[in-house]
Amino acid sequence: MTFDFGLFFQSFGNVMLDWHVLLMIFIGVTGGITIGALPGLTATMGVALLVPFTFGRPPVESLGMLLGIYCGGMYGGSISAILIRTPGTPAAAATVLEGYPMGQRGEAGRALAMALFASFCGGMIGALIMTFLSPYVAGIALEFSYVEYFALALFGLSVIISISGTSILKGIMAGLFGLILSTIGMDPISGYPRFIFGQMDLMEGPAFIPTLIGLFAVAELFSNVEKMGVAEKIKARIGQYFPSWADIKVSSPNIIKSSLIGTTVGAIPGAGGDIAAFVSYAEARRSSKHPEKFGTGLVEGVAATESANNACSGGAMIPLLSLGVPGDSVTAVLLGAFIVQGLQPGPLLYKEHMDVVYNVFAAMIVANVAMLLVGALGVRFFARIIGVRKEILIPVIFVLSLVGSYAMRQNIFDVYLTIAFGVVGYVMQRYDYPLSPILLALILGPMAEANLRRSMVVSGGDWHILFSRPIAVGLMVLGVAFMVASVFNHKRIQRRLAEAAAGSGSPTG
Amino acid sequence: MKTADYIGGGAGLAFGSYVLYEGSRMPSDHIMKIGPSFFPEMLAIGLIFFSSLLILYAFFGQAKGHPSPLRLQDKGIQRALLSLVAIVVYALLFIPLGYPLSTFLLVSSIMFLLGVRRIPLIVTVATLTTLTVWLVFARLLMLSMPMGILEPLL
Repeated sequence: MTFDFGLFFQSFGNVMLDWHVLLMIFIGVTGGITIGALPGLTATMGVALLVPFTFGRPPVESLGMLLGIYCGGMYGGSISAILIRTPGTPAAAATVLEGYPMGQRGEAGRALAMALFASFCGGMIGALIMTFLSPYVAGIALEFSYVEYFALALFGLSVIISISGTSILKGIMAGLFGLILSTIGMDPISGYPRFIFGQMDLMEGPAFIPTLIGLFAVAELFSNVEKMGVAEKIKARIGQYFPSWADIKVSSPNIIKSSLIGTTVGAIPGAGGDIAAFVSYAEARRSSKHPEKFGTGLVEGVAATESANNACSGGAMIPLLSLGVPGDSVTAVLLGAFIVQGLQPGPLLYKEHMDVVYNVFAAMIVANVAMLLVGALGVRFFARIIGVRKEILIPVIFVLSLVGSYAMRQNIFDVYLTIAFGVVGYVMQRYDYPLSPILLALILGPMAEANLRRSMVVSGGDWHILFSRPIAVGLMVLGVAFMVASVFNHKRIQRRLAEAAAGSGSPTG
Repeated sequence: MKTADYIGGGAGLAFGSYVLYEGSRMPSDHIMKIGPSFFPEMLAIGLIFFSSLLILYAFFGQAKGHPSPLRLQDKGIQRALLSLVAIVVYALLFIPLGYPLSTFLLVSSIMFLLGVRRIPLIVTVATLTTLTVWLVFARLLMLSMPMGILEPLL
């Protein structure tokens, strides 16, 4: 499969010349920056919360808005990281290291301007690499049969270990719990109803959007209600919207290098923006002529971390679009949004809905431009948003979560489902059981089971079929290797994050 | 974390055992070897194995982390529980009472629960939230919202 330049420019026209699409992208970016800037609200929660706002809209508008939230959310985290030493999103944790000292020196405007510029550059580089690379990956995947799809699902599930947080054991337990939940409903081959307790609403399994709103929004709200804090007052003066030429010149090598690192890290399933930012920060420090100055408020440090975490978005979209395997929790939610639109990401999307794929490419690039504009014009507004009282914000988000889960099927059962998953998510989170493996399992579980069963039907129950195709064997070996590597890397990453958190002295948002 | 890990592991064991029990009641496929119960049973065995491992780790003092205990006397826990009650009541009232009234009551009660005592502020935020969300979902996205007891008036 080759890259189609004609379709690419046509898709650009579709996005740029349709004001509905542009409006949705700008709304998404504004919502994303706002949610990203608010400590405690993550980009995953933002996308989950705003998916219901896309019901009934054409795919290009809906996906444009959600991609806008994704891009905006990644940048938004840096605002609170720089101003109040609390990263709005985990991906902005590394930005605290240089951004906050700059703010303390009275250079908050300079740090914010560089964060925005670097986020834009990183986002654009990531989006361009995604645009030109993913059609080739999908081209290979088009040859896949049931066996390869089963192996691909196993490979995707191997990510669970790297997104397990502090305990691999609890991550695996959460993943298995999610996989069992994914078997609720009709058996994909025989149609036998499993674990439905006589509830017809469960025939197709737990509805995806209410489940993810429960796990990622309502659980977070309970947690916020429990740990109610006082909103920070912003004292910094923000008088700069774009970085100076001198800052751009000194940071350019780091921006390019970190964008490439961010895209690569993002394309590895399980490795998110936080890891990309810390890896890039370490590289910027290692290659600097004055590494001893890092930690005192260097603009190059902000450029490295912010370009890396935004480039990560483009990278994470590569496995999502070409293989149908989400790279992190945000892309897992995006996958759900695609499904709501009747589109199944993966190689077949390139075959059956090529126009949608190219519209996504164009929307992602336009979303980054929108982020630059909205970020520059609205930086003072977003800085003030951080100070909004939680007593007002929490009830509003409760309403959005519950009405959003009702709206999709206009079924009150989905509201109860959201509340139930909210409680489960809150309790699990409180005791260090990560939630992202559940989401990944809910998506990849049916893919694994259905393709395993179909392979068995084709082979007449002969298990050797699973090892009869080289790509499938390669994917399974890669999955096992990835799991082993993740186990070995787990302790090192945890140590690095703990050191950085201790250095910044504040939790991630 | 030790007690929490015992409870978490115990919950995993109980859940896995239940899935195995339910799986044993599902029909089996003698031709393809794997029927509808195969996948859930395999996963349940995995969950039981890893839950047992968690309990063993806790038993041998390998439990990680120090979460604050879940005490009902804790004000934060009480707030979280009351907010849960508020949203369950909201779900119960959503259809019979209708979206506008139930949403107004939910926003007001959660704001009150979170310590806001200024009635004009509560009324303003609750009214604006109810109206804005209704405009977006019912007017912009054209989704029908239950009006409940206000139905005859609108």
